[in-house]
Amino acid sequence: MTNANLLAILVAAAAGFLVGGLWYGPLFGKAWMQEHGFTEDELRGGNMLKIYGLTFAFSVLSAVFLGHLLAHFGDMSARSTMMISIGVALGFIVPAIGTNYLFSRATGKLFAIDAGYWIVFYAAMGVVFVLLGS
Amino acid sequence: MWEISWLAVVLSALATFFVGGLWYGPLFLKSWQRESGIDDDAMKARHPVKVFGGALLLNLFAAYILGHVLATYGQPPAGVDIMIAFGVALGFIVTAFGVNYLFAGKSLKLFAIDAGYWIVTYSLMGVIFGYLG
Repeated sequence: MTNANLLAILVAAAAGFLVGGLWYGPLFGKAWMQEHGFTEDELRGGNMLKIYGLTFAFSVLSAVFLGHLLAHFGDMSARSTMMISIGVALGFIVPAIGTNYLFSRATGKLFAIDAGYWIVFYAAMGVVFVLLGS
Repeated sequence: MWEISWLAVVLSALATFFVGGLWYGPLFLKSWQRESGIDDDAMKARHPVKVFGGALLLNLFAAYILGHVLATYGQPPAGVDIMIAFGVALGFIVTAFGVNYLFAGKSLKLFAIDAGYWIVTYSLMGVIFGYLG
């Protein structure tokens, strides 16, 4: 169960990263900025190398844990792999984000964008693990 | 693998409030308010039934899914339950928060407070499932 597939892990992390580019870009970039009250100038002020570098590191780490969890279940159908991947996002990440957003009074729309992102992110990782093996 | 102790699920969900009351109370409330920019007035403006009720439902669901994942490992020793619960928080929740907080330009301190909360909470949930099944 510790025999994780390194190639799958890296590709899964990259897939999640790409989803992020679409999700917070053409799809919901504007809505996300609006809900946070950010302007484009403010966003340009961030250290992009740090943000993208650390994001990729976090993505690899989450892919390692997902690959490890999937490997524990042994050989599975594509359907089970997808269900577990999406289940992790839905069962653990979405409730945690939801709780924090409730207490910090973030809008329902921001919650939907950020929570939806993780569901799609984990679904994309699930697809990669189905194709390349965990 | 769907045989989950309901007592453990309910206690785990309640544990999130117990840790939360300490974490976002005497321990880090002041820092959390400062870092998130939520002042006392904004705190009072929250709708308590919606916030606490919503959080309870979300955490009951999370505890149920955690119990389900733990049950797929059979009957591991309590230490393994705690390690898995800790791993779920670290591998899935902390990484997700890290990405969101980076892009939203939130401070490292706020990330540490919020991420630390989930690590402690899940570890406690692991203890509860470890000893109650």
